[in-house]
Amino acid sequence: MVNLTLIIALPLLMAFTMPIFKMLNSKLPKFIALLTTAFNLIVLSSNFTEIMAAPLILELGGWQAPFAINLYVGPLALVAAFLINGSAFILSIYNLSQDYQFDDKFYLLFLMITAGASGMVMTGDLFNLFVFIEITSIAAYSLTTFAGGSSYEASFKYLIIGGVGSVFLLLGIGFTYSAVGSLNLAEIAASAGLINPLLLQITALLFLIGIGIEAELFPLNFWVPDIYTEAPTAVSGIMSGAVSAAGIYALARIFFTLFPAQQFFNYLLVIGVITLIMGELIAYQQENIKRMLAYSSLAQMGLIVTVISLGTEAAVKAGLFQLINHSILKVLLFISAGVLISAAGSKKIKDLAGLGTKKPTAAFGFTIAAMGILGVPFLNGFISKFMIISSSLNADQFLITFLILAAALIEIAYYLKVVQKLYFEDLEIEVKNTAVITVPVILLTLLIIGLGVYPQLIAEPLEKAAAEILNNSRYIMTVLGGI
Amino acid sequence: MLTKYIFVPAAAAFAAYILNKKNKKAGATITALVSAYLLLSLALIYGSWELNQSFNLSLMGYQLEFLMALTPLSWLFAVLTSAISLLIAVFSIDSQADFKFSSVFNLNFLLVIGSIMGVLFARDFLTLFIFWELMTWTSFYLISSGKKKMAGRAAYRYLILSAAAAYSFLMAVIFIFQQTGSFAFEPAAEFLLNNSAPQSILLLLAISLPFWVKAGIFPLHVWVKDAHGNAPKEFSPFLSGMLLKVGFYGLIVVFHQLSFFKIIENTIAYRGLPLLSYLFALLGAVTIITGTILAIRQEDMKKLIAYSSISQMGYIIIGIAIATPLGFSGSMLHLMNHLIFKSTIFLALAAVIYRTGTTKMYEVGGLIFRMPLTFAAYLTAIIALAGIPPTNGFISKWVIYQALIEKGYLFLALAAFFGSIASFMYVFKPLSTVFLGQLKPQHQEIKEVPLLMKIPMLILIGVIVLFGVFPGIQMNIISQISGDLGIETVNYSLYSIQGAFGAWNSLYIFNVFAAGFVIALLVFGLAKKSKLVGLLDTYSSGEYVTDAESYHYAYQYYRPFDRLFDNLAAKSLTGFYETLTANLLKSGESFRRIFAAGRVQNYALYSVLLFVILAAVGWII
Repeated sequence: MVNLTLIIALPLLMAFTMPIFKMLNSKLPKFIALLTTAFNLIVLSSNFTEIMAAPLILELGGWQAPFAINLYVGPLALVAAFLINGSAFILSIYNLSQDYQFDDKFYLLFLMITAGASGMVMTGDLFNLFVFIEITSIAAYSLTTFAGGSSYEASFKYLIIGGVGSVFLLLGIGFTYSAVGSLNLAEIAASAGLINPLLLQITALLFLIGIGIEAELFPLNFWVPDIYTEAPTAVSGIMSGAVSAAGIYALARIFFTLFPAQQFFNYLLVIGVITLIMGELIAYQQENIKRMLAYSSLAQMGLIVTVISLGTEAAVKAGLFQLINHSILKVLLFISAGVLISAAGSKKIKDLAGLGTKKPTAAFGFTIAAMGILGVPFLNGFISKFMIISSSLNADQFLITFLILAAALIEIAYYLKVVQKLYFEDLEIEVKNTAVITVPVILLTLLIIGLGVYPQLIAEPLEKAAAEILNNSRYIMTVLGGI
Repeated sequence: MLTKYIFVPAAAAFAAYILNKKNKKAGATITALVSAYLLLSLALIYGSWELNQSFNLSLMGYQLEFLMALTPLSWLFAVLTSAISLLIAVFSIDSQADFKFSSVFNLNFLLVIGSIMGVLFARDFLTLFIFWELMTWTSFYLISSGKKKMAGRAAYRYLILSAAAAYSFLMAVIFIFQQTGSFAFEPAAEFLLNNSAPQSILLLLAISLPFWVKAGIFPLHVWVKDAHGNAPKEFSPFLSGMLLKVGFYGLIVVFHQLSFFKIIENTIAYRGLPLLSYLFALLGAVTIITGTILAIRQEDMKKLIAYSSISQMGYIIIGIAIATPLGFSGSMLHLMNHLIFKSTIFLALAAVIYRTGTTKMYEVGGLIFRMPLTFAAYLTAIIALAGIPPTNGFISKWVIYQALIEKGYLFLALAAFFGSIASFMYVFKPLSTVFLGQLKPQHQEIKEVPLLMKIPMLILIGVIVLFGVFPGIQMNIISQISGDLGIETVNYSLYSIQGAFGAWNSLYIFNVFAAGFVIALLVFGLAKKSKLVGLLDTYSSGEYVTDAESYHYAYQYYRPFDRLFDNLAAKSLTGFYETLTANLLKSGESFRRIFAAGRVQNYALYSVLLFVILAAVGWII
């Protein structure tokens, strides 16, 4: 087993030494990024059994929590970290055949966003959560602009919204500190019951807004479509696959571990459903494929939040499975769409007609990912859809179930439009040379089918992660120990 | 081993896909071989109704049991599926040379066959749902691969409608699963019987929704016409012949095996029939009438036959809904017979399209001189469709009429008669316009189709007459099905069926017709030969004609009749659904305009507003 701190430390180290690597060899940065993310995955895997047995607490500086900063890596954090570093790894493979201007800076930021998101899910105290969110966001602002053109505008919008979000978050942290006198998550969770209810409510709402922006909840999510559309494909992919997963993690941590109250679950449920329905309805109208994927991402985030906030064990498991699927599928969708876009030289869906035969790998990737999202049997989305419907019916939420299924229907409608365009229509166009994505498509397809046929593969981490979400006293106990 | 019926086609599908890339005949050959294999091994397990298989799986904390079993009903449907796919595959070995999506076609075709087998052998909802979804998805790609531009849109409509229905199914079965802890049919049936009747009825209606859609019963028939009309010509026979019928399989399962009919037994009745059953029969009647009227108006031959399929589905549902021994037997007979003659028709039309490349009736004509066998196949099939003895179509309709008159369902009987008489009108139209009349100048050089396409048509002609004379062959399995479902059986022998008001003896009738045929042949042989003149000359009087189409009488063939129903037909149900969904989906655009208009100040404002609103909500509560 390797020290888990490296997951955050190594990308940061590599990020800031990137200009030196660039000086050594101009090809080096992309390989460094690939190796770093691969290393992170190995570190995570080597710690897998240990974390499954008991959560790992890493106390920095040798002081015991709550007096020192600590990292907390339980099953939930492990799942999230796998998603984040896995997405980053796949996208690094994609990046190998991609040429960015100022590529040292690009990979510097790319590793920073990976480290930031990993930090978000591993940190054990509130202030570091804030710091990592800032690192992630700042990296995201700048990464977006690598596409040039109108991406500056998108980035600027995100910057402003992100700034507003930080204010809320910081206020929330300040209120919490003033009430509890500590920023350690376990410490706060342990004494949350002692806080004045009104203050608690205001604080929780401040967090809801602050984190809601990262978790892409309505109506805080309108920066998302612009970012996903304008940013380079790899950035859209990492935002959708990794950063949003970290956002969901933070949301779960704050509302299930820190301030568990039915009232906030109800808020999240309503907000989640609205996000879902609006996202799907707007996605259906889009003519730009990346914008369509962006709204679809929003909707998926809404779905995940809805399901998790049902609060039963089955529901949380279903939501987490959907989160895993979302990361896998959206990364595949974004890189395939990226290739299709550069092949056709246009982001318009109607200009992609006939690329099924001209760009078979990318079209296949897009199709299988779309079918995964739509829940075709033997693909991963089928299992999570089944679990979602089952758990929401079990919680007696008929209306919610109905709305989820209605949203799924709209989803079918717009994804199939693209799939049909790809294969069964034709357009006389000159196909441009594009990135080669055979390896990521094969890897992700194997994952999609593997999880669809043998979902037991992730049953244990999912089970334990759900238990961790639902049982905050265990979290407190493990961190604080006897104190 | 029932799973082999699923896995063999599935494995062969990928082999067919790869090999077909090398040789365009490989895919269809593999499909034919697999279908033949399935047919053979199904024949071998005939009668072993105790065959079953089950797997247990613990999935994410759910204890799931996958059950499969062989029943007479599923055996029959499985045989029909493999038989028809064998014929179609043989037919399409030669016809796919110019088909762009040939590999994809064979891949999906075999997957459809495999998933239908899965649907048929499933004894629990989850297995049923999985294979039902696969069947829908693969057939979606099959319809999409049609040549015409409309194919995509038609397939799209088909899938959306099917998916919506499938979700209603999913919700209902998961609800039952919560109560019983099992997806299997038997505990579900037990639960539904003991549950409150209204809730059980609602659940079963939700479960049956995908089957109604697939069967194309009014008002869910809107996908049928375009899907049939635009699907690849080799898939249309299967779509109309088999895929629609799988819907009826599902309905029979819901009605009998999930005890829907037992639950509604004691509700309000009309002439001894529970009102809900009568309503279903009424839907059947409306389906007959709608399908017939719309068929008469069609100019496209495949779409015409598609509408005719809709109307024939009406007969089947009437018989199934009234559920008397005669009604059920009549429906099952008609189900098989429709499969046989409708595939014949679609194959004959596929042969015409293969040679001429068009589906518009007014663009062809006089093909009897060039494609006599195709003509013969079409003629036999439409005689069967119109229900004229001594073909199989007569017998099944006769049994259904008997069932309706026996119980005195006047309106239903009227609709059935109307559909039967008016079907003369629509089937005669392609006959007279495609095969009779003038041969188009550009079609002078057309040849009859190759041998491999002739064989399936010949076999089907034989089967139509065979079952027309010996309905006892079909009644043999049908009586086993009735017995299995707990319906009384009808008395029959090899060539006669006992109706409510006397028996039908087909051998006797066949002899009469045969004698009549011989006499006619004699008269024809002895009479003076007619003189053949140039076809165009009969109406152009030897003038030079540049554009033969505009003179063709096929265009707007039944104009006076059409005028009668112009107002009715203008109120298209499809249009209604489309406007409804379009308006619903447009709301997304308004949302976007209100919220996501691109002003970043507003976005910042939203976060403050959300905070204020939620705080206010918390304050009030």
